[in-house]
Amino acid sequence: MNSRLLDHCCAITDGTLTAEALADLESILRANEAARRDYIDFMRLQSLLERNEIANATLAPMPITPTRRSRRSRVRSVWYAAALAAVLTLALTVWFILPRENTTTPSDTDSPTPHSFALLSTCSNDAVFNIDANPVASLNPGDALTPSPIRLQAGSAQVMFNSTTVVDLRGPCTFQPLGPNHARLTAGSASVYVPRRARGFILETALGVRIVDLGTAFEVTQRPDGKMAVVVTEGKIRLESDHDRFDPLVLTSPQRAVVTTDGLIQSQHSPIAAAEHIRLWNTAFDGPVSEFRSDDTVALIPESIVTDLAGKTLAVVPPTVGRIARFDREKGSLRVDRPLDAYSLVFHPASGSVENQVKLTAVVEFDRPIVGLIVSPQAIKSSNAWFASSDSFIRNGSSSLEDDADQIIVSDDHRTLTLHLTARTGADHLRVLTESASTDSPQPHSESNQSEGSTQGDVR
Amino acid sequence: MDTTDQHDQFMRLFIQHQPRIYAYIRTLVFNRADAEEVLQEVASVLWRRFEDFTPGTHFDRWAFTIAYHQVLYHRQKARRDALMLHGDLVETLADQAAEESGRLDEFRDALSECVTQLGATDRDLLSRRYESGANNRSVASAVGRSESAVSRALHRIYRVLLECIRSKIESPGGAS
Repeated sequence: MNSRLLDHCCAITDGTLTAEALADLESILRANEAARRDYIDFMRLQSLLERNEIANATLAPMPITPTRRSRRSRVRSVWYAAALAAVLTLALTVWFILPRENTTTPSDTDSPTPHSFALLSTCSNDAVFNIDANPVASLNPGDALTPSPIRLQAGSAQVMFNSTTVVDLRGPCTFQPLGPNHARLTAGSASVYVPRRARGFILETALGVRIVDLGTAFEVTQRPDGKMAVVVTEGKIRLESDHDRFDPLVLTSPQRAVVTTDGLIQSQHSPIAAAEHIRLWNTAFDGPVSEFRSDDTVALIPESIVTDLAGKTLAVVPPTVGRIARFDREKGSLRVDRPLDAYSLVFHPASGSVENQVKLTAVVEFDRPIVGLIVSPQAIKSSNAWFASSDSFIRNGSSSLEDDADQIIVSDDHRTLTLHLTARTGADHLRVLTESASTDSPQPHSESNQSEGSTQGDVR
Repeated sequence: MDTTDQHDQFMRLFIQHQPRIYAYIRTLVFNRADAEEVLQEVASVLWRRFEDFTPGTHFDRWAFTIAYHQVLYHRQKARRDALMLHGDLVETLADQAAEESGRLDEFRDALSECVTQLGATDRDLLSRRYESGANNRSVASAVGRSESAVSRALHRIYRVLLECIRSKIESPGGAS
């Protein structure tokens, strides 16, 4: 193979091809058929290596690391994990990428052939499943799912549909694949990501409310009391009622809505006023939160909607009216199974250093009562699993609130926090718990924010 | 034929021809992620139009035609400053790639043999390079070498593999 041609081919795969090299490559390829054959062979080699199409064991096994990734990369990671693990057959590879048309109607479950149109792509080590009330001892990644309800009793799991729609389930929840791009959530919480090619995914919820994807990602929680809360994290969705209890309603990111047991829209909220620094709970917290640094802004991050503590006892600082000045203790506890909303509040000064102490005053209002605060890094970390992903804690960057430097003042009506925070190198981090959105969604917003030695700004 | 039979038939054909279809697309699309996206689109279109396919004819030729149009569509959508081969060259390469697609099986067999002849270090490098999401930089970081050293090593490996494959294919009896 001509050396120049090989250099250009390698530059293509390395992503370093220049315009000049492209022009030279084109002249070589135009010149003769043999060069074109060499080029085709090179790209054929790439195709076989990329898709691991060479015979078994000729290359070392590819490591598979089931890590939590950004949503956009998840589909691909699942693809590769499946392919490289050699757990799935080639047929399954095709199954992944083969959307079938006209298969998103409720009659899918009536099909006489029990086609599988979804598979379990990943699950946590502590995941416990029941299917049709029968304990399933070995539902493993790669297993095909039939249109039977799956109860995830504990842990988390990811289901990938034929259409490439991905649904993350958090136990306890009950979920049923109905078709290649169609499912039902009758209890618990799920995060749904619908790639462009799978647009139109339908999620049925209890009480005849349907969520129709319009190119999106969204969070949904079906509560035991029948209420359903949904928040759009990307793109938009349409809510529909089987019983025409309400007109179809389009929600765009990051709007949320709560549907009552009567199947009526109880509340619909506009975007939460915290601007670009808001990151919804299922995004990678390590990145955006850790990267967020400002001397005059507090990051306010909604972590979840309608969180049931599910039997857990949570130690908190009770929302004592007035100044909270001692942070060396976690007093009080919340009633189990109490639905809550949680917000992370982070102050991480950009110019903070051992020598430079940065002070900030911020006021954050909620339209639901604050029921508790979690303030120490240890307690925030230990409560992550209930309110956010397990890696939402700011590793090595979060510091305890200090009795002599930081103050939190709770208003008489428990709806307003006034923060006087001081930080040098780390981040002040606290978790705010409010009454649940399912009854009347909280909508925090800030009023003012002043930092010493900096311009006045908005928390928003 | 009912939908289930049709689906099963399609699955069999697509499974059989998927490596050729991907290799064909990869020849025409510089970027790996783009090529995989085009493959997914092609699969979707093939299934939607499967009723147009005449059983007993060449599924791969039919798939190449659809893949070619999907590649053209992909090029239209690409950024204006994206580097791409000129259209006439794409057409020429597409024809030649389709013509030579029957060689893929023996090419793959030869590659399998040739990879086993690489040294352990080279196989390890190749394995790392084709992990999901890997690139020369990540490989360099993993093996403690410079990016340019990894790039040079991979260039050498590609050359060795291509020469080995060609010698096996062209030798009497071809690749085993």
